[in-house]
Amino acid sequence: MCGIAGGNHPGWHYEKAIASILHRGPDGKNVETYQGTTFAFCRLAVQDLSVHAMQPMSSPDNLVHIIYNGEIYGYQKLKDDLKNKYQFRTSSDTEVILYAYLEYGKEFIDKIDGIFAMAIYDERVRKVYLFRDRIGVKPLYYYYKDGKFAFASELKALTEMLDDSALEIDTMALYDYLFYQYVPEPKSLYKHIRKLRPAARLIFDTQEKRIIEADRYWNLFVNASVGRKRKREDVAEELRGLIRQTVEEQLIADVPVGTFLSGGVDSSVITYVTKRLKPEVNAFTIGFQEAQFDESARADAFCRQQHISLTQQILSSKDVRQIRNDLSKWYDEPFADVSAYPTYMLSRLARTNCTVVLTGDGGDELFGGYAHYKTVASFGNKPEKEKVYQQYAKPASSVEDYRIRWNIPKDYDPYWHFDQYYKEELPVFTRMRYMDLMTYLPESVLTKVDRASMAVSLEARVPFLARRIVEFAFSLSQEEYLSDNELKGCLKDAYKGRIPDEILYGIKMGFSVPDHYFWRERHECNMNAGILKAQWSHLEKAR
Amino acid sequence: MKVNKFEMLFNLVERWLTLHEEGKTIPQILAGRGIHTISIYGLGKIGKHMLWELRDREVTVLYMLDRARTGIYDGIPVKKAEEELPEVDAVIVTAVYEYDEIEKMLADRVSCPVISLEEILYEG
Repeated sequence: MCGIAGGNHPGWHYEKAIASILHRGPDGKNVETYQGTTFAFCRLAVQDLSVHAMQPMSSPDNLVHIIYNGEIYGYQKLKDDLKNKYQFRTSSDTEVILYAYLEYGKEFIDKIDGIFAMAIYDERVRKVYLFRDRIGVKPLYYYYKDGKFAFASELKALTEMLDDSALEIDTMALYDYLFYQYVPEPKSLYKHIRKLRPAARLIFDTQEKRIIEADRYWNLFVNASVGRKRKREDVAEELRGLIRQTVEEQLIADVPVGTFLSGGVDSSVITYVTKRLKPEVNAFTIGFQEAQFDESARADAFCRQQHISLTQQILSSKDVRQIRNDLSKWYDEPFADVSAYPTYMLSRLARTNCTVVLTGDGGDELFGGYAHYKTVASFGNKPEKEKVYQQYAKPASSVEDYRIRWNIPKDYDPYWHFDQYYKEELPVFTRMRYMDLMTYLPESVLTKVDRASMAVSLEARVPFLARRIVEFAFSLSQEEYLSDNELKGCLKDAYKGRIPDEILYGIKMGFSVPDHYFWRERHECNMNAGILKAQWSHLEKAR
Repeated sequence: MKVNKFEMLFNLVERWLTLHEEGKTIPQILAGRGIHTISIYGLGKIGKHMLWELRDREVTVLYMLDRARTGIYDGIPVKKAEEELPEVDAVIVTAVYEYDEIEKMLADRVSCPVISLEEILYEG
């Protein structure tokens, strides 16, 4: 993984920007300027560790330049197609992307899959192209105002790069945060800085100094049908094949690869498959002193049975208290998913041994694993939307005070973000999975994992979110993925007899943090408001 | 049969490109005919390109129709013809090589005109 930043204004601080995100890439940095457009890069060497794979990487005629954060998978066929015409100098995936762009233009994106945020500057047409991966695993922010354009992997790089006058707090975005647990995209904490949406392509014309295109390059078909058309064993077999193929591709690295293991279904599946493909794999887990939150014993039993080496750490409230104020440092804007703390501790533990880990993120959204889906289903087929949305965060009682303080119009609807993706024409479980795939997954889960792992320079890969598995999961009817009305039924079918029933059918915990660790924040009745008050108190007075 | 289908699609795309070179777009042509809300029949590559061209323009795609699938795509409902279909100004058939059959099949299910994409492109 790496960090990227860039912009078109000569007076900005690109060196400072890239230095602020060196945790994303501590193995080297580089800043180059082409026709007034600057590209800055810091590198975490994972594939082709040689200096030749450093970025920005340029085409042989030196007219096209790329900086790229991420990994693409299964690119060998694409590389083979390009080999006859282009002479490869490295074994890195960056060079494959560069030549694919030269060969196919901006539509090359349809030929790759992976986790990425990238910028390409094409001097021939004087355009900067930004791309973000389909699900939103890797982050990308951009600033645009009065012809000035900048972008970066993290918000902190933009705040370092830009002049203070460009950074105007968006109080409406802050108000939105109180209803989610993140600032919903495309908004950010600042008025003119936006998050590039997942599966989005943005084109900036450096001559006209304006954004000429910002749109999705990929859309997902979501099956709304009910009833089973495909046999249960056929679905299970196909899914098993897809997961194996994907994990195999994602194990490619020139550095040690491990897995995150919570003791739940998703991470156990990924660890199980990894063990079959890479017997020497190490798994990492975090437990809690409080038994009711601790799944580490289950993870330990699983690893003993499977002969997998497991490294574990048991956390106490003291461990978390030591890093309790670090959320603002990692996320740069209010963010209230407190499982970021154990994710950070787990990343730190894994980093002692690995540079890359495979995680089980995405399994719940793909195969319908959240218990609150059953709660929503109990509301009937067309429940009141607000009742559904409040399953994610009940706004604090203080929300009205903030509305008045920040001059938010009384008729402002904070649920605009959920509304975009809540589709009543879908059956209720599919409806919830789709909304989560488009909102909660990229903005809470994946944001949490990216920043917490990158804070210690660890690359987290997410096999479930490979394009082929996402498209397969959403092509299934409700009855096909919920076999026997069991949450994640098809995934459990696929690994029944391979993974112990206690894991497949046990109570799910994930990396939930005991409530009393955050007694101070919880005083506010709502974690979102509590975190705002505890870690972002200066924003409460924003106007 | 297969060769005919690809030849037909090639001619269709060639005509579409020609219109673009002339600066004409499908939304303009449809709006010129007084068509402001449509359904697109066919969720293949041509249907997806058409949806792309109509995005944020003066013509709104209320839903898509597909022979085999029901669901959503790009946030737009995908329905089968046998479902209840909201009223639109026209259904545009992108599976042009099956237009006659599709028109016949939709005749008693929708009250609006069922038009082939070919007709729209050649009219432009």
